[in-house]
Order: sequence, then C-alpha cells, then structure tokens
Amino acid sequence: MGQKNMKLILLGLVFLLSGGEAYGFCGFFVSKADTSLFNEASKVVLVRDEDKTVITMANDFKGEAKEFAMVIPVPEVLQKGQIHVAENALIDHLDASSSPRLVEYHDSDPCRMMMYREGIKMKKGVQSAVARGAGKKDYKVKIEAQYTVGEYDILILSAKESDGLARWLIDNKYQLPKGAKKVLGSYIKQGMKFFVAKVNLKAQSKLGFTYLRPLQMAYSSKKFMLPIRLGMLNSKGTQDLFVFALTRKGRVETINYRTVKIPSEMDIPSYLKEAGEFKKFYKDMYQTAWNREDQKAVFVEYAWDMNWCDPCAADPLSASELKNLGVFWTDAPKVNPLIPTPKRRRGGTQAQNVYLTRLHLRYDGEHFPDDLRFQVTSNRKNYQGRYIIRHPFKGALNCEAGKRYKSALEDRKQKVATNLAHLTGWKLEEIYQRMEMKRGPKDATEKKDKWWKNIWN
Amino acid sequence: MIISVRVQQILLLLTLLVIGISREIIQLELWALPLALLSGLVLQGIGDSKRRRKWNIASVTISCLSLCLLLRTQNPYVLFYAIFFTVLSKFLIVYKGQHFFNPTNFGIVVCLTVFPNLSWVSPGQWGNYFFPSLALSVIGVLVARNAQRLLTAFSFLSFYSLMLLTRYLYLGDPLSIFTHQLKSFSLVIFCFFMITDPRTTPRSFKGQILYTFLIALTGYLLQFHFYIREGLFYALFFICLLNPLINKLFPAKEYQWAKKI
Repeated sequence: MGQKNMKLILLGLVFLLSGGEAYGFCGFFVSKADTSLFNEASKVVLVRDEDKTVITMANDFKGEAKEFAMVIPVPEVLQKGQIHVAENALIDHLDASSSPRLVEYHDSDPCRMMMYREGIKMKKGVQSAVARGAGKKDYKVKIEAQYTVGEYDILILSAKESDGLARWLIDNKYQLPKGAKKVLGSYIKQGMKFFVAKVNLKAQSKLGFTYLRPLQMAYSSKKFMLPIRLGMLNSKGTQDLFVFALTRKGRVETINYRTVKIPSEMDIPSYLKEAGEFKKFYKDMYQTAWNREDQKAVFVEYAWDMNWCDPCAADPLSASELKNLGVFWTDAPKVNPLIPTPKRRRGGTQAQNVYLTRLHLRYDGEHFPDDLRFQVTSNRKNYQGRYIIRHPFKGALNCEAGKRYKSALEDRKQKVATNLAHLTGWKLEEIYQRMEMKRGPKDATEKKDKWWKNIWN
Repeated sequence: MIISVRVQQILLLLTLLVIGISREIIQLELWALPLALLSGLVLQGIGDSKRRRKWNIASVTISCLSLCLLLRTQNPYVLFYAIFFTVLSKFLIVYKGQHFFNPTNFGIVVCLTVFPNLSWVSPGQWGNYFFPSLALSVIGVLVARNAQRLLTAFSFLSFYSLMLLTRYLYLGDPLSIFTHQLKSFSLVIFCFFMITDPRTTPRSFKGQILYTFLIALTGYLLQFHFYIREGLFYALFFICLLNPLINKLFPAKEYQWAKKI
C-alpha cells in the first residue's frame, strides 16, 4: 500500500486505531456549533425485526478520504447486495424528529381561557472519533469477499486467530491500539467476521461526493448487538452514542445494561429559550442524570410510533425514507385471536407499522465493559424528552381568580428554579439571578420559619 | 415473633416491587397488581374447593407478586392469562399428586410463547450492581432458612458462574465482563426466588445437584449460543419437565413445609 498510514474512524463501535496524534479533531465541527452538542458522539440506526437487522452508520469523518478506514465485527460474510450506501439526510431527519424538544406555553388570562403553544426543536450534533494507523506473513486471515459499493472499497475478512488478524491489519497500515488483539480474539471466537471499509478515491470523485455517506449493512442473525469494545480501546474519556432503533413491535432496550427514561415533562425558566441555553441545559441535565445512574445506564430520549408526533420536532419520516433506512416490512400489526383488538387510535391510518426508539448512552470501558446487547420489547408506550416554558399572563389581574393566580406564580417560579437546579446541578443562586428573582430561597424560608410573625400584629 | 417463610417471601416480593416501581425498573400498570391478586385468589379458591383443600392464599399471592415482578405486559388480558396458566399448572399438570412445573415460571413461559407481541421480560432493567445484588443474596439466604433451598440456590449459582468463567477464560475477555454478568440483580432474583421453590425441585441431594446443573447448562446455552435472552426461564421450564424422572433416579421423601434446618 503506497499511501501513508490510514486513519480509522469508527463511529464508536469500531476500531479507533489511534496513533498519538489527535489530528485537529476538535476543530471539525465549528461550523456546526449548534449541533455539536456532544463531543465524540456517533449515530447508528438499527432496523430490527425477528432475526433481521439493517444497520446504518453515520459517517462524520472529516479528514482526508484516503485516510479513512473502518473495521466492524459482523455476524456473517456479507454479499454485495447486503451492503449499501445511504444519504446523511436520512439520519439527520431521524435525529431531528426524535430530538428532545422545548415547548412554550403562554398562560391564559386566568379570568378567561385560551392557550397556544409553539415548539422549538433541538438538534443533536454528532462527532466521530478519528484515529491514526501505522505499519509483518501467513496471517490465517481469509478475504471472504471484496466489493466496491458507492465510494467504498469493502473487504470481508474471516480469521482463525487474533495474532494473524492483528498482523494483517498492521501490515495493511492500520495501527492497532493496545488491547485490540484480545478484543479481536474474543470476536473471532464468537464466530464474527470483520467488515473493513476504505474509500475508493476514483469512485468517490466519479460520484462527486465531497463527504462520506453512511454505510449500511443488512444481515440475519439472532445476535442483536452493537460492538462497542474496539471503539473504546483508544478513547481515553467517554463517548456518546445515539442509537435509533426502528422496529415493528415496539421499544428497544438493552439487556445487559439498564435502560432508563431521560427526565422529561419538566417546567424550566423562560431564559433557557435564549440562544444556546437550551442546549446547555440539555447537556448538563444529561450529565446529571447519567451521574445519578452511576454512569451505567442507557437513556431513552424518544420512543414513539412513527405515524405521528406531538409536538413534532420535525415531520415523521416518510415511507420512502424509512425504506431507505432499511425498514423492510410494510404490513399492519399482527392480531392475536385470544386478545380483543383495541379500537383504532384517532385518525391513525397505520400506514407505517414502525416504532422508533432513540437511545443515548455515554460510555467508557469501566462502566460498559461489554458490547451492547438489545432486545425488542412489545412496549408501545410513547415517551419523549419534553421541556416546557410557561410564560405568565401579562394583562390586568383584577378578578378574584387573577389574584390567586398572581400569588401562585411566585410559588411556581420557586419550583421551576429548584427543579432546574436539581436536574442540572446548577447553582440555585445563579438560576435566581438569571430568572431575575431578587430574593430566592430566603423568601420561602422566611414565610415558613417565622410563622409567629403575624400572630400579635 | 416468628413470621413464616411464606410471609417473609411475600414481604420481600412487595419490597422488590416497591423498589422496582420507584426506580423505574418495573413499569406496572395501575390495574396490574389488583387484577393479578384478585384473579389469582379466585382461581386458587376454585381449585382448592374442587380438591377440598384449604384456600392457599400465601402460595398464590407469592406467584402473583412474582409474575408482576417478572412479566411485562401492557395488556390486562395477557396478565390474566399469565395468572390463569400459573394457577392451572398447579392443579392440572401434576404427577403422582404433585405439580412439577414452577408455577410462576410456567405462566411466564406460556405467555412469552403465546403472546410474543404482547408480553416480554426485562432482565437488564434491574441493572448490574455489586452491593444491591450482594444484599439481595444475603436476604435470600436469610429467608431460605432451609437447607434444601440453600443447596438449590448455591449449586445453581456455582454451576452458572463456572460456565460464565469458562466462557470468559476461553474468549480472553477482560475480567470486568465476567463480573458485570455476575453482578446481575435479575440473576439473584432468579436464583433465590425462582428456582428454589422446594415443591418443584428434586427431593434428594444428588437430584438437586443434577437439576441445578441442567438448568445452568441449558440456560447458559440458550443465552450465549442461541441468543435467547429469556434463556433461564426456558431452561427452568424444560428441566422441570424432567423432575419426575430425576426423582425416580434419585428417590427421597417428599418435601414438607415445616421442615427446617
């Protein structure tokens, strides 16, 4: 191989073969500052029904295409037709439609009744990790298949032992991080094959793409898992991973880690509407929730029937978009003769029998030693991360109800502030300041403690 | 005050339910517990009256609470069927006047098979934490108060850990994967509160050892080679089928509830 050492990107789930240099990684996403919420994050779409899986991996590699390479353990030798290249827009749309959302309500005139609302959506950024490789024969490595799909050259390798595979990779300019051999060995013994992708520069220039499109794979396997162990080897800190699971049955959860719901349906102060504030809030809230779960849980940020949304952060995906993501079924839900069928939900056409689960995890080797193993459950309860800003009514409050409303408002503000402090770990004093509340907790304690104040007055 | 083993079990199951619900481990519908208990008690009452026996409230309560703890469904009919199959197995699937399926497990397996789209189990939801799992094991030992139960629990746990250890050594995985698997709270629940029911475990010492070995082996194979996540439940189901045979191979007297260490 004439070129320099190859860089490996691995979506968190694969190899991140890093040679010491960070390679301008942090600067990559400046232009997308609004979406680069979580550093070192990757996005994966998993379409699963029975034993069939279609996986789509977002590719945010921003280095030189010739330096891109990726290695993923796969359960079987894939044929050319099982590999495909998708469009980034699909994942972006899926991301947007399932993002945690901020909604706004305006209190109605308590003396009358009216309400309207507005939704503001929040997008998540993704960054992929970049790494670098550097550069011995009888590898006992078999190239099971070799294809060019879209802009990618793909090899499917099978290996008998990890030493040979490691040497093969090193001789082919992939630099292995410490510990990689052991992990490779474990995968080999578990009967996994290795999917290795590089960019075919000729094909890429012919196609005219300046960025790398997401790779897709379709396979049948009882294993419903995502290999994350290789990707953790050279990552010192934590990585964020978003899994968008599309199923026919219902919610997806991890079976070897706890899956918990992200705190939701919270009232938050209106200043969080200002530019960047909601994102800051979400980031800190995630961090706090993650710490509360001992950094060991996977969070559900969204779980919803693909047919509708409320409020919609973006339109649900169309049938053709879902098909492109690999949704291969089109039929309606199965009916069990022993169970009476519930009435159809309002206006639901059941056009798409697809259920989306958005999982967000922040992992490292200490807290997530094993690969992610999933199961599809029959849980079809909808859930979303939704945060609410309530604007007080500004008009005259002359009626009796209005007076009561006014005194209730102060208590509400207090609650919102304490709630926010609890959710994010932010200092209460700072929150009071931002909310322009002059006397925060003092007010409350005064009222409580000095109960005797008004007795003799 | 002496509280009987069964009452202790009920209290413990209730505690687990409260913890499970408050920690969002179990999402129990509001109708679930009343429906389970009511239908369970009624069905047990009918069965006992046909058999002209005393209404066995404690036993059916344990089964119903265990079902609520382990089986997930959002459909009241499915939960009712689960209770129905559980109680049914106690009265109808008998050999020499003794039921041999673990009733709760029977209910779970039948529901998972008949309603794969409406019911599921969530073993991962309890998490893998050292201290809670250790604490539950200690409580399990204290509640068992009976040599037979302890033997079942410990021999199963030893066989199963040994299989996980073999796998870990074979794959060359980091130790943390092995300990992560052992720290599973669900495993402790299964070990101390599912397979240890003295009525559905073989009576003799050798029988017990064989029984737990077979459950551990089947459960391990189903989970790690066939990727069936509910492997342990299926394992218990199939091995319970062998109980009459195991009891024939290794005969011993029938278990009495009053027997203590």
